[in-house]
Amino acid sequence: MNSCPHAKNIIAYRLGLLNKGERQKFEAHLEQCSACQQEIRLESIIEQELATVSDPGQIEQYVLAAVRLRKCAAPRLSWLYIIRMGVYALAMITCALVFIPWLLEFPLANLFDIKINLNLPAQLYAFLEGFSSPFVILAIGLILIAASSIYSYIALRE
Amino acid sequence: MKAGKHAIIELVKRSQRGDEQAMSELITMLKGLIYTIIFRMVKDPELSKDLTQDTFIRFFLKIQKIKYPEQTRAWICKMARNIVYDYYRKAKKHETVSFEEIPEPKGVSGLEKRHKKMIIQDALARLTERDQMLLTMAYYEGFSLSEVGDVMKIPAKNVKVYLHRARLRLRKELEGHKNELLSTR
Repeated sequence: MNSCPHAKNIIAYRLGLLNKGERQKFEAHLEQCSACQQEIRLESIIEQELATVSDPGQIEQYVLAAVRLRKCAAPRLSWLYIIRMGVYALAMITCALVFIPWLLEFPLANLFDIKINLNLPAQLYAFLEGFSSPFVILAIGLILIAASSIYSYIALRE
Repeated sequence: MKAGKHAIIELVKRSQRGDEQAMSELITMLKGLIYTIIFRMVKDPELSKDLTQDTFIRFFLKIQKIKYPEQTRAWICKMARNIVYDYYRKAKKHETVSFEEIPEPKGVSGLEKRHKKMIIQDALARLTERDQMLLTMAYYEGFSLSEVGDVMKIPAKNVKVYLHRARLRLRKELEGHKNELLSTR
């Protein structure tokens, strides 16, 4: 800024922040003050540069192609998500119905005297008892989770 | 290309119906503004271009959510800013730009203009991201104070006051270059 005491008003004047009286007073001063006239010129150069936007080049085709691709991929990913959640749910239900009751009865049941009664239908209980070992159930759950994760990873990479 | 508000509203409505021609025109209209906002934040031409593309991709994927097309410019500017913030959250680093990479303005006085541009861009780069964005939007043709206020999260009636402070800070950064700027005109 120059040494003129009115120079501090230049930006406010350019922005229209001065009231009517202040503006008229400043404009009257501006006609006589070459230093402030120079400041006004400088401010207009700065404003011109601020208003200049750069051009990133041709991006239209790239953007449209990417949007098309993502729109196609989106439904696939949502199906993938549903399948994955289904597998996780299956694994969790398996653990909840079979593995956790077994775990609670042995060995934790001995330690804390925990008894649970799931009141499962006899047929379902008989079916679950058919598995020889809870570790088999756990292994099946883990395999399902691992398979689902691998499938998700491959699909996302595509 | 400068973006007329009514033209943008029409293009957004067509884009929401899946009209790719309208989408392309919308990019052409707004890419300069978005690129400039991003460039002034990241100061890297190639990265700015990538993030500009990302902004438009995200914009078109979410275009159905636009209920008030008249707010599109403010919406996409906010989106651009968020994309830059996301980028920094992931990269956790700021890189500086060599002004050698700023495209050279064409014409007889190209060198002089480039020199002037460098001085102002250099001063602008020393301001905060908030000041840079405010100045970029406020001087972009056709942006209303309420749109600027919406993006910057400041009341529309205070936008000029914030702008005044940002301009004063910019002038402070430009101290010592006055003669160069005036002589290179």
